[in-house]
Parts: sequence; structure tokens; C-alpha cells
Amino acid sequence: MSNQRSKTLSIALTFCFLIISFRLFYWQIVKGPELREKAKSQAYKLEKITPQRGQIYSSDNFPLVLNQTIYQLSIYKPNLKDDLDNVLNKIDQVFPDFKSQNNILIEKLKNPSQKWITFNSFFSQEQKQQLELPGIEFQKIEQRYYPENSLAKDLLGTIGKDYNGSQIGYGGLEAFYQKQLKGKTGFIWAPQDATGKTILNKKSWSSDAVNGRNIITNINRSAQFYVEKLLQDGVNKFSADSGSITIMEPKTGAIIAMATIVSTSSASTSSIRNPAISDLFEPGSIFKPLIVSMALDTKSINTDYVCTQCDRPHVIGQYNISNWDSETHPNSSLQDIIKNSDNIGMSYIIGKLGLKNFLSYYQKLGLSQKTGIDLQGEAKPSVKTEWPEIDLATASFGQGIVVTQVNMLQAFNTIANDGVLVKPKVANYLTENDKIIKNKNQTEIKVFSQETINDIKSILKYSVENGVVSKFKPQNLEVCAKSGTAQIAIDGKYTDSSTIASYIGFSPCNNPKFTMIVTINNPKTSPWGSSTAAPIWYELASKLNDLL
Amino acid sequence: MFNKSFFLLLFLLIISQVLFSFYYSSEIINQNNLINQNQNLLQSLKIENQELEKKSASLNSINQLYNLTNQKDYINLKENLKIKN
Repeated sequence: MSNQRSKTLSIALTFCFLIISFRLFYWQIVKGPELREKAKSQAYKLEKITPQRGQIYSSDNFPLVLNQTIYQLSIYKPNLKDDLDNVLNKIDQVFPDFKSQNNILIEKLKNPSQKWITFNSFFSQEQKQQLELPGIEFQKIEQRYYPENSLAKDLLGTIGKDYNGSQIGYGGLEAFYQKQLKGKTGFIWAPQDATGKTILNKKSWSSDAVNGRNIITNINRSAQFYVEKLLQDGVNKFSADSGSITIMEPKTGAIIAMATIVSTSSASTSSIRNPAISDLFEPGSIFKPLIVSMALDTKSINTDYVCTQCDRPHVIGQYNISNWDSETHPNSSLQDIIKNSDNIGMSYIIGKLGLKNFLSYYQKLGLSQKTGIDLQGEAKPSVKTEWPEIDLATASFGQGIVVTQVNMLQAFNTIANDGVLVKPKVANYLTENDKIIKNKNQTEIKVFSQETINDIKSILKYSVENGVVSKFKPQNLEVCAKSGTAQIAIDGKYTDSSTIASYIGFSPCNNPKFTMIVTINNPKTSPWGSSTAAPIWYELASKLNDLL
Repeated sequence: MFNKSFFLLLFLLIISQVLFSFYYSSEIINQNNLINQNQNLLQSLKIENQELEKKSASLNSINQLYNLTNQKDYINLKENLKIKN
């Protein structure tokens, strides 16, 4: 009996063993590869390591854009261990005015059907650590922080999120240097435990994140501060629609400051649009020194040129070219044509220069293309294909041609930089782990001869010292500059009611420290550049003289 | 006798294997916990560093300096008045 039972048991055990063996064979050998992959996909997870976006600094290495990590608070009522009012009081102690700022949401949360609410208050890490209570959840948010608030906002740009939820730059440096600023995302592929923590093992795989490069700009934050302050005062004082200022270092093209202020009564521009690089305007009389330089450089005229026909308006076909005050200046010298901003004289000078020479210099001065400034959103100036005689004549005083403010500054800067055209640039260099990455050296184009430059500088200096703007000029400042007032074409016709008043120049005349342009759009108190843009220019110039 | 020795050996082998696997897995868990702790610490130090950089930049911002200059002028004026009195 015992033997019989033992035999039955052995057979049963062997049978069970065989079934288990077959099953194990099926799972491990037949289905093995498939199940292994399934297990791996469940246990292993690909985790993204987000790199830190590069930061932006001023020329004195002061941070203009920093990264910050903040936390958004949510309350999940079912998990609260304490009374809701006590929890809210505790939050209010850590984050003053939390309750008053969120009273509508708090009332909503007190509704029994409302279990979860996210508040619009953002907490620092220190505050978060003090509030680690059951029922309180924090969501980590990475964003930009601007220590100088809105200073240089047109230059810096802003950031948003792309369709993947990654940070992406819009406008200014943030967009232009998006590739360099964003860095490289890292990855970890490893199994995770039940709590979701990564378990590193031999099969784990990872690639490190590379943080974005930092940008060290040419922006002088003191100059930028004064530019914005004085421009704001000017726009208010002259009841203008808006105003823009750009300052450049003559030798290198470094942009020291750039700002646009829009009047609060006017429609505000988009936060990512920079009018100094994206708005086209007719430069008006500030264009005259460039025409005189072209004429001198081609020897179309020389410095002892006298306008013998300036005693009457210049008649071209059905059009009369006259001066802003309808006055004439008979037998004007070249210096007086610039000093009096004589349109009649200029129309004769461009006639001597000729269309071919004019277009050749226009191109050499970069006025028919984008400057290539390292900011997103630069507009391309449009150039006419047809040039009737009247259009060439009006171009001599900057009407009928359109450029951006930065185009005009770059072209005028060739006079300050001994005839050499340089490209404007905002970023000086980039850094990656303390390694300096310099931009490629730009090619410099010689546009005017030194003789032409000496002549035009002396004309500009004479015009400043003997013109109407001399009253604004501080005694210790040597300035070569020109004012301009351009009429704005509305529905194909110029009107006297709206103008763009501007002033452009550099200081001192020899070896200048800066070239600056000020444009005031539609000033209501006075339409003239000499009485609106010029005083702002001189006030800033005396500050820059100490700063640079 | 042989059977008993064999089963004892088998038993000891199983026990040692279990103990070893316990030790080995707890070592992996400890090391991973340590890595996680250090990563969290590094992250919080980075954020603390960001906060300090932010505070330092705000205190040295040109707006702050401009406001302080105005305030300083005001204090000087008060001190001058005191001296005169």
C-alpha cells in the first residue's frame, strides 16, 4: 500500500514538474525575447534632462537675463490632514498676502464639490520647503528673471513655449541666438522603482545635458538706462507717438544702447517687435551728409562748390523743389547748404553725382539690404527700380527712400569710422563653461576716402557750431551731426501735419566715442528735428561723454 | 547518510543564495538612494545659487542704485540741516 502511494505521488510530482518545466520552457525560450522586451519597456523609462538656458549679460558682465526656478502651489483637499483654514493661514504666514491675492480661488475651494485648485502665486524654494504638508502640491516652473526689469527689452526679446513645451526665444537676442542659448537636452534610460526613482544599473544608458551658452553683449547698461529715461521724457514732452534711439561704437559696430518708447496714448507695439530694426522710415535731411560725401568722393563737386542757382526753387517737370521755410539761400557754399539744410542746393548736388554713382554708393553703404544685426526681426529696406529725375532729386534730401533706423546709423557711421562700413552687433562674445566663443571677424568695406571724410567732418562741425542747434551743444563737446525732418506720406501724399524728427551724429569729430541717432515720430509740440530730437541727442551725448 | 548530507548542503546553498541576493539588492537600493539624495541636494543647491544670484543682481541693479542715490541725497540734506541747527 505504502509503495503504491509512493509511486502515485512520484508520478504526480513528476507530472507536475513536467508541466511546470514545459510552461517555463514556453515562457523562457519560446516567448522569452518578447516577454523580456515587454518587461524592459515597463521597468525602463527614458527620462529627459532639461539643460539650463544660457543667460544674457551686459558689457560689464552684469546679468540682464537670469534663469529662475519657482513653484506653483495647488491644494488637494482629500489629502489635507489639517483644517483648510489653518492650512491657508500657514501659507499666508510664509507667503504674505496669499489669502488676499487669491480670495476668489479660496472661496471656490471652500465649495464641497471642489477638491483641487491651483493658485496663481509663485513660491521660492525656501517658501516651498516651509510648506511641505499633506495636501499641498508644488509644480516646478522654469522661467526668465530680469534684474533690470524692462531695461533693454527690445534688444533682449522674450521666451515662450514651443509645441513640445520647450523654451523658445521670440524677438531680439533670445530668438536670434535660440540655438546657442537653448543647449542640448540630456537623456537617462534606466529602470525605475515603484516610487518612480531611477535605479542605475549596468544596462542603464545616459547622455549628459549641455547647458546653453551665455551671451556677453555690448550693451552699456548705464547708457541704456539714460537712453530709456531721456527718450521717455522726450516722447512725453513733445507729445510724440513714439521715439527710438540707437547708439553704436564707431570702430567696432558694437551696439551700446537701443530703445524705443511708445506713448501710452498710442497703440502699443508688440513686445517682440523692435521698431529700430523693423520699421522703415524716410530719413529726411539726415541723409544729406551722405549725398555730399558721395559727391565729394566721386569728385562730382569739390569743397569750394557754390550753388549759383539756389536763389529760386528748382523746377523739375511739373514739380518745384523748395526749402522747408520757402526761403532761398543764393550762392550757398557747400557748408551753408548743410547748415541751412538747403533742399534746392542738395537737388543740384545729386544731379552732378548722377543716378549710377548714387545707386553704387547706396549699395556700398548697405542701404539696399539688411545690416545683418544679430537681432531677430530686421526689415529689408525696399529700393526703387525706376528712378525718374524728380525721385533722384528728392532722394538728395532723404525723401522717397526708406531705411530702418539701424540702416541709417550704419551708413552714417562710415563717416565717423574714417570711411569704413562696419556691421552693427549686439553680442560681443558667447561663453560655454568659461570658454570664450568669439564671432567671426567681419569684413570691413571702405566706402569713402580719408580726404572725403575730413571734408565732410569739417562741414558737419561747421553746421553744428553755426546752426540753430548750437544752443543745445555743451561747450566741452565736439560734435559732427545733422538734424532732419521727414514728412510722412499718407495715402501717397506728404502732409505737413505728421513728421519724423531726427538727429544723427558722432562725438568727438576725430576718433569718436559713439555714433547716435534719435528719431521722434510725429511730435506735436514742434515738427522739427532740430527742436525735438536734437535736445535729446545733446543731453544724452553729454552723459555718454562721461560714461564711455 | 548521503541523502541527509546532500539535503543539508542543498539547504545551505539555497539559504546562502537568498542571503546573498538580499545583500546585493539592498546594496543596489542603498547606492541608488544615495545617488537620488545627492541629485536632489545638487538640484536644491543649484536653485539656491540661482536665488542668490537673483538677489545679488536685484540689489545691484541700476534702478536700485538710482533709487538709493536719491535716498542718499535726502539723508545728506537732513544731516546738513542738523549740523546747521
